[in-house]
Amino acid sequence: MKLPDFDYRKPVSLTEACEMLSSEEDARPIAGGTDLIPAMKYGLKKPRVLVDISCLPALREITLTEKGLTIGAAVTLREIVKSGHNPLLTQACAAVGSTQLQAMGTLGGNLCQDTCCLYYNLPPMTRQALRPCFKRGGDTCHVTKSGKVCLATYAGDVAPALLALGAEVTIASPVRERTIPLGELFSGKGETPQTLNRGELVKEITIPSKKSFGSYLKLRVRKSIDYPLLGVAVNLFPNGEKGVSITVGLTAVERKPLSFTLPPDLSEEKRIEVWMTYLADEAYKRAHPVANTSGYSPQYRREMVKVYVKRAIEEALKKSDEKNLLDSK
Amino acid sequence: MIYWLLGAHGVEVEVDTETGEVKILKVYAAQDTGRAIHPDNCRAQLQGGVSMGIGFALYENILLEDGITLNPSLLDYKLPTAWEIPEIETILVETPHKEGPYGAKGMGETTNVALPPALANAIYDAVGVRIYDLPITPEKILRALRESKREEK
Repeated sequence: MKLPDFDYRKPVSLTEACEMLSSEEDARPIAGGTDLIPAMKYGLKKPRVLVDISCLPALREITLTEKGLTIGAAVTLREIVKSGHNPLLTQACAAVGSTQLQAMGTLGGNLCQDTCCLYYNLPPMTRQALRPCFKRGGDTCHVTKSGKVCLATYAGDVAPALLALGAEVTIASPVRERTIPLGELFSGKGETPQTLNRGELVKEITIPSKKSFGSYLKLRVRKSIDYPLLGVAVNLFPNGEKGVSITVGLTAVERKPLSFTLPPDLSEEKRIEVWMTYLADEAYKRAHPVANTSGYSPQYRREMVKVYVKRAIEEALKKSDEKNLLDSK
Repeated sequence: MIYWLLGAHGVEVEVDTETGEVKILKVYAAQDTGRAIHPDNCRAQLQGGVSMGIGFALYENILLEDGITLNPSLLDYKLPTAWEIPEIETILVETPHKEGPYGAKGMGETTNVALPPALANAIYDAVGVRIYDLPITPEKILRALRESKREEK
């Protein structure tokens, strides 16, 4: 499969990059290209201009300040794993695809990856046998036969971990920068999973510095290469006498990554089983996997949500120094 | 020249009864090779057969819908990666064949045949459920485990 024709631009500053993206017709940013290039080879995307942002100094930094950990959008997943700043983030980055994909893929690119669907990510020959679906600009969804919306699934590994960590995302544009909670980056639409406007770019991610213990578990058929069929990130923030606050992040079960927090009245609950069951049930309620992946059935994936949430909490508790404190209460 | 290809596989597994996931710990693969002219090559052939057998037993599956193959790529058609291949102990049983060149005989194709039944038997031995169709997915094991529990009651 050959790449379609495109023009290549290499801006030297972030401002120039944003300007190129807003002024050029049909331009797309490219960094690692691990999501975009395969889609282009399949003819699913045909941008006329690629703006290479992989070497922009403003996007390549990891800084640790009192406010928290800030990671530039063009820092590769491998670099994050090697830096080892945040154990939960490291675990999630190391779970992405394979080593090669981690070496090329970037943090911003991983967050901004497209949704996937068995009926969409097909080579041209196979695709032409199917009526165009919503994501291809058509009027049908093949996942559910009477589907009224696109059900393509967001299957990024890093987003649930960052959601569980309470991360914020800074978005650059030709006009002004804005910082929003990471959850707002995702639209929940299968066709256009991110809420970025024309000319906007993810600049950096900030994880607030707050002591926490987390774990990311990923359900997949094989231990390498595969997208998650379910991803569960759990992060525990010990609050001393006040108990514990917990955030759960889920991926590959909806059109966007999900997250939710243990309600305050339960955070003082002393028995671990009580809030573990609550979180597992809550995750189960929110997860709606559909039959658009190879591998396991949606019923199985949904069932595994409970098991994986519990196991992720157990694993996070093991890492926590505060375990004894929690047990003794 | 007619000859029989004899081989046997033994599999050690761990089954997660909560998720149905199977972990292969070790595979023992024995094969009658006639005289092994190049023993390392024979062992590599056995290892290759085992890895093919693992793919056959646990992962490979073509998804068809109205005649369309929905997983026409190696991302969606799952072959085992290096992670999925356990330690393999190869055993060459050399019984020189009287008509073969230097007593050798073929051992290529049959090395992947014994793995799926050996694995299914190992799963039965571990958790007491029989899976009769391939690939053996965690879902099938979990469902069979539930059914067997229901029958016990």
